[in-house]
Amino acid sequence: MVINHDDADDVVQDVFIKVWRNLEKFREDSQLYTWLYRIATNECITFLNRKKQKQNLSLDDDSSAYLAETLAEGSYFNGDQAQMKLQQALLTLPDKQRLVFNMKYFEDLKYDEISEILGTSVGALKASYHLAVKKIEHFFASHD
Amino acid sequence: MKEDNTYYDEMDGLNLPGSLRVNPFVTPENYFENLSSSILSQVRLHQVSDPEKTDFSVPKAYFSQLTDHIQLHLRLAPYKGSVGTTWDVPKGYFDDMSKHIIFQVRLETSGKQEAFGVPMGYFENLSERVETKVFEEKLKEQVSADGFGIPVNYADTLKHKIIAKAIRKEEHKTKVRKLNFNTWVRYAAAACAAIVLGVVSYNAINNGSQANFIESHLSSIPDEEIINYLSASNNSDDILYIMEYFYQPDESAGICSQIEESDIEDYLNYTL
Repeated sequence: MVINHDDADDVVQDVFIKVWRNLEKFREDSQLYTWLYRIATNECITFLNRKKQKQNLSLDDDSSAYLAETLAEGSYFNGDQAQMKLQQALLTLPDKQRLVFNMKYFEDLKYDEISEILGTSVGALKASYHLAVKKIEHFFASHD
Repeated sequence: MKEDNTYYDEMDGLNLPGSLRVNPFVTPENYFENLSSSILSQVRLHQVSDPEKTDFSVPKAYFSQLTDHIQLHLRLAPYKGSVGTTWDVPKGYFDDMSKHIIFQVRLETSGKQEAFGVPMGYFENLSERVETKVFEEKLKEQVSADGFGIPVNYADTLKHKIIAKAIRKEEHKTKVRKLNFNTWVRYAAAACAAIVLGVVSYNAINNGSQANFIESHLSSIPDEEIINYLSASNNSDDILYIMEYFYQPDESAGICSQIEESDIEDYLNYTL
């Protein structure tokens, strides 16, 4: 989600610190994996919003410019051209929509699981994913 | 004529004729040739077949259930005659048949509803959704992973980084001191607020009553008396003073604006 490895490292550390501090508050109304994932997604979104604020961007703007630059310069991206193109297409999506796409496409989570993690309805997730795929399709068509 | 093999032919003791000495029994053709094989097959058959089994066998538990079977048949026997073998039709069937058919037809045509509904715009967007799905499948065949890698030994160093960061955060934690308000402080604050409010309201009421006092006394005196008093007090200082503080409405043109100048001149000559 944050593209840059150092940023991802920071986010991971923050996530685990948060988990360690709030472990007693875990109510076991969901699985531990779901709870962890929810914390991680919230931390990612918070991190990206903070970055936008630092760059004086509106929260509604996508982070594509900054993240695309990071992607191009990143030393931990070892994918091929097709993977690079897909990542560039993903960066044109809003953060939450990109998050849904990553969870569904790369991690193959079911809509029920994603709904439990993000607290969004299954219908909304399906619509969001469908729109994301359409946008990626248009991106591929326009950048061929 | 003498016959062969008769007892007359020097056979003392043997009294049978020659014709009787011939074996009258005959055997089938090739009997003796097939005899050994037939005996062996009989032996084998005897070995295979159960010597105790007879041709007629009885099912298992036949005799134990026999009494129940017989009693059942005895109970069913009286009903056999009553059960009709012909097909019967209910009374009035053909009379009401047309009505029933029309009713069924109406029921099927009017009450027919789809068990499952279709969302709005489903078929209009279906082709687009299918195309998107096809694109997704093709994309997945080409790109199945996100392409990001993890540094070597990342997991090993992560634990130490997290611990170090947690310790740093604990050290930089700002101390929060809670203000411990005792009960008497609260009462004192409430008393101060009450005093301030009381003073303000007292002052406001007092000023209001003074103005009211003056206004009420002047209003009780008739205007003619006021005019007579003012005309009697022929003191130029008083007149000047009154003129200076005389109320002038906005729409007025000024004091003595309606008096002619000649009249004013005569007055001044008379008084001065």
